[in-house]
Amino acid sequence: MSYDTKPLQWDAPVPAAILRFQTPALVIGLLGVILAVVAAVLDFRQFLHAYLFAFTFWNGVTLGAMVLLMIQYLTGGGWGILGRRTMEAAARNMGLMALLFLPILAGVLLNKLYIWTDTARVEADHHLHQKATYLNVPFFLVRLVFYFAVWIAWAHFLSRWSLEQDQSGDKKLAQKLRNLSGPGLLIMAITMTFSNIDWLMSLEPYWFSSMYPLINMVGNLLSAICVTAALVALMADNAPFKGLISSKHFRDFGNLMLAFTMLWTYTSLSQFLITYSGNLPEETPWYLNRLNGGWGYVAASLLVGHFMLPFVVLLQRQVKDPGKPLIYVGGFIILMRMVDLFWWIKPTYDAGQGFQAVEHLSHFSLSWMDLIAPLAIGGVWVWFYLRNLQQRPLIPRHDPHFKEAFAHGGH
Amino acid sequence: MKPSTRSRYYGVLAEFESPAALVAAARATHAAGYRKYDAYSPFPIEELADAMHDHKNPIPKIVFFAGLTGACVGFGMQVYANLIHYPMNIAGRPLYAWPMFIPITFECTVAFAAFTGVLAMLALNGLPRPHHPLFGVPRFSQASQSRFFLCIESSDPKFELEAVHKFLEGLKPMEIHDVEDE
Amino acid sequence: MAVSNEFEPSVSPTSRLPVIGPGHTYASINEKISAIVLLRGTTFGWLVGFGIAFMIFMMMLGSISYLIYKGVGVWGINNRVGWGFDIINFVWWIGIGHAGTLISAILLLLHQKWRTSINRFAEAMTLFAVACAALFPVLHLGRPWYAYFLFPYPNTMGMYFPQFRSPLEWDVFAVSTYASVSLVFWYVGLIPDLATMRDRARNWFTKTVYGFFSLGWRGSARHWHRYESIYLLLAGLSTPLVLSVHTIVSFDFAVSIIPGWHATFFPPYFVAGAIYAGFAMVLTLAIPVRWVYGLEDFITDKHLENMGLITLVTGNMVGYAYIMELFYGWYSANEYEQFMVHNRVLGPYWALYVALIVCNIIAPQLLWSKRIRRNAWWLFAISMFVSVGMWLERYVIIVVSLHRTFLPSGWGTYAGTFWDWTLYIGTMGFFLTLLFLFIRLLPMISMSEMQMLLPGASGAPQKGEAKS
Repeated sequence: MSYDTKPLQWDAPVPAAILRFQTPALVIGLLGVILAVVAAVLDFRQFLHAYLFAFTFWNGVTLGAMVLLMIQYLTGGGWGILGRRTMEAAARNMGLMALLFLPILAGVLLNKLYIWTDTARVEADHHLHQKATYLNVPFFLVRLVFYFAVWIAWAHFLSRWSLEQDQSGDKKLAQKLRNLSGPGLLIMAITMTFSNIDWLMSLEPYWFSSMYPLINMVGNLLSAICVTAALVALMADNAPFKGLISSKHFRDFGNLMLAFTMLWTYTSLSQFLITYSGNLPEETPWYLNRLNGGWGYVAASLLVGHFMLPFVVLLQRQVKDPGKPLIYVGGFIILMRMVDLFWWIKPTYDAGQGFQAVEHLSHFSLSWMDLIAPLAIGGVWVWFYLRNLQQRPLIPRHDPHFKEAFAHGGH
Repeated sequence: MKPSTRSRYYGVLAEFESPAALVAAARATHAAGYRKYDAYSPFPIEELADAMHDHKNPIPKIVFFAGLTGACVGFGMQVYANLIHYPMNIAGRPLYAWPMFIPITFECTVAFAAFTGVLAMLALNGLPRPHHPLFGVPRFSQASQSRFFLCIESSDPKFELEAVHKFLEGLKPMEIHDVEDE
Repeated sequence: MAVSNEFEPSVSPTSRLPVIGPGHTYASINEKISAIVLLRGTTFGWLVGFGIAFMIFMMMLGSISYLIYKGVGVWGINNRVGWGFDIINFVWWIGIGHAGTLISAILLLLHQKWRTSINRFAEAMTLFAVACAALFPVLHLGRPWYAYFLFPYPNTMGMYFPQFRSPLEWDVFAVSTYASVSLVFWYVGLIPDLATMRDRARNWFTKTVYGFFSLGWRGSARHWHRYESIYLLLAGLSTPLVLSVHTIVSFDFAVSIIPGWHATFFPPYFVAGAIYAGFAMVLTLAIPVRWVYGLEDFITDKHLENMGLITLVTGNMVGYAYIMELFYGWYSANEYEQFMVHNRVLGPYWALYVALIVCNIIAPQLLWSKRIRRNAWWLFAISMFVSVGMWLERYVIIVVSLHRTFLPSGWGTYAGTFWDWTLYIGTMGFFLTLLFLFIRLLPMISMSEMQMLLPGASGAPQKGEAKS
């Protein structure tokens, strides 16, 4: 039925249950950064692979949150209003992500990460030579600037107009945000695709798969919705969420997590099935490197942990309706997202970076750097995220769909 | 309305004007201790299940297990066909090409789940049943159009014609009809 | 509804169009919708429309008869392009069908109330489109009377099972599951309305026929409870099912190694295209129907606008796929892939490619304008462009990829013959014939679901109504 008629505390502070994570996050982040510097000095190439994996995950959460923000402006719904400020807090980390790209940029400029940055090799290799029109350092830099410029611009306006709406209640802003979001989704699709090709697919430049950027996008959305749902569930018992949020909203969050889990499975499985049955020499090494030498167990863990378990668990209403279990399910899926990206990136470290010969197959390895890197970036990211979250009221009170979304505990 | 003199009744039917009135009537009927009763409406009414304490619903479980059976049958059929019944080398691919078995396994899962579910719904509802004592009441044709009915059935241990009439009249229905058993 | 003044939003909800016209009651919904079937009778306009559709349908039967008499040689297919019109039309029709399932299942799960008035109609469209689609691969077999070989069954030949590792066999399972589950979903949705028709029918014959198919439905609350449960579950099952069908259709192409076919993103690309074509077809049909039968109260401008928006979104997904296809063709650094892209854009069929881009990418961009999205005639025109464009897309994917593959000595050309065209156009007659019969014989809008949109239908007490 209708929500609590007691006045909502609009400017209630971020609950202490959340804020207690802020200082530990900073400590972990700073320790991680120090260790990461040590790692970079010890073995720069090894460090870069670990760092790229960690960066891809956290950048994915940031980008996914931006896309979700745009989706909720266009479709409406209670989940979008409840999760808006947490998604905004994530999207506002976009500038931080641009800064955190610097080590990868160093890897490109110093020719330590991608084989196509090695000009001598490109000259000698017919295949790479053909691709050099796209895969060359200057053009890479131009694209890099373009991606971050677009992302920061969109994050900036999404964030600014939402804040203005909160302060002034101007009716035109809702329409402005929608006008920003429609074309924004197109721009995000294009930039996320090409940044994926630049940063991940070109690790193995002999290989290509048109599904690969789509899996990455779906994964980003999944990571972002898990972070958002978990955070909203953590805050649900405190003002201003208490009394506003109902089991129907949690069910929507749970169903979104379920939908993106299924989409991830669908896209991943389709890519595998098409590659498997095509059986072409330029395509299969990608999977050979990731199903042999110990990596097969990681792949199996993805099948179980990234699909089967979340799928079965998220089908249950008992899990979705109370909300609290979504914290644990979301946390688990986030962990599996990291495993998935690790499985994507780490095998290129010793797989001869896309050599097609079978004798170069990758063997499973886990370095301490692979554990440090996501913690380092994650600590810093979470600290800024919680700082952003504290700067605004937790509920966008002037959203034009507010009444509609919360009357009758609706959708 | 004067009670009929026939000895055997299916039940007594009360007619209401709105969904809210029917929900209130169903609540009152349950509270009065009647258990063999049913409500009739042209469309599903969200609050009725709650008012009638009708929470048992085995359909999701049936559908889940039917789907599981379908998956096993689908996958098993393909494994049997390719590995045991007639192993045949096609384009040098392994006989146990499990990724290639996924699409048909999925289709079998859905087909089993959907058909079993619909058949279970019909079976649990006792349909098809072309004739029913309620159809003997001319006004009951409104139950599929714009009126809402509540019927207390004679199989209820508490059923007593006079008392039921009196009880239903207390709910302020538009009309009360006796439903004769045939 | 009680929102206290303390946090009353200062912004009023944006002007949203209603999903049902004002002033309707439970009775008026039933009367208006059932009257189209029960009271309106067979009008002259219906007879003319049905007559024309039926004649085109007869042309299809004539074309099939000649095909079976002479063999598939009467078609334009040859050694280069073994999959011509048949597969183009198969994919085209089955894609059109997908919007019906999307509207009835996915939008139900997303609580989109506006789907209610168009879902019955769209589901009927699904069934008829799948019937048309299924004709083509069966006729393409050459000896369609052996079509049962495609199913596993015990026989004297010792091979009880078909080749399960072939995507064409997956199609058999996918399309037959899809057709039968869609039929059941549609029928389950119809049962309560058939009971209404039974109770409203004025003569014995009509009453008996509707009564027979209504299975004795009497609207019991206990029945509704189980009914709603299975209806939601069917929606939940149909959603991945519809995605799987077009995914498997895309596998027909993608699991091969033909340049232009073997692309890992074919599954979502095909699904987006199917939804795109399907919504265009729903618009093409719904706009004239609501005009002829005066259904503006039920199929409101909001419905048209929403369908226009979905067309725009899926159109841009398809546009993404076209662009990325060109990019990956070049990025592959594989001479066959690169040639495929070159041949597609600049080869002998370049004009079709240009037409495809105009119809599928440029035309729908008009839908960014709210004024155009809310104008039925603009929407009708754009949906026509999309229907043509989606046919061209399949033509380009199938014919242009096949006619020049790895060996230049095996290159050739392809064009549909008279018999290809009569069969293709004939299926449109088949489709429309079924659609005219559906409009004449069954309630085309779900009455029970429309009633649920009225305030108070949930059973909660209304304002000014005392709780008795």
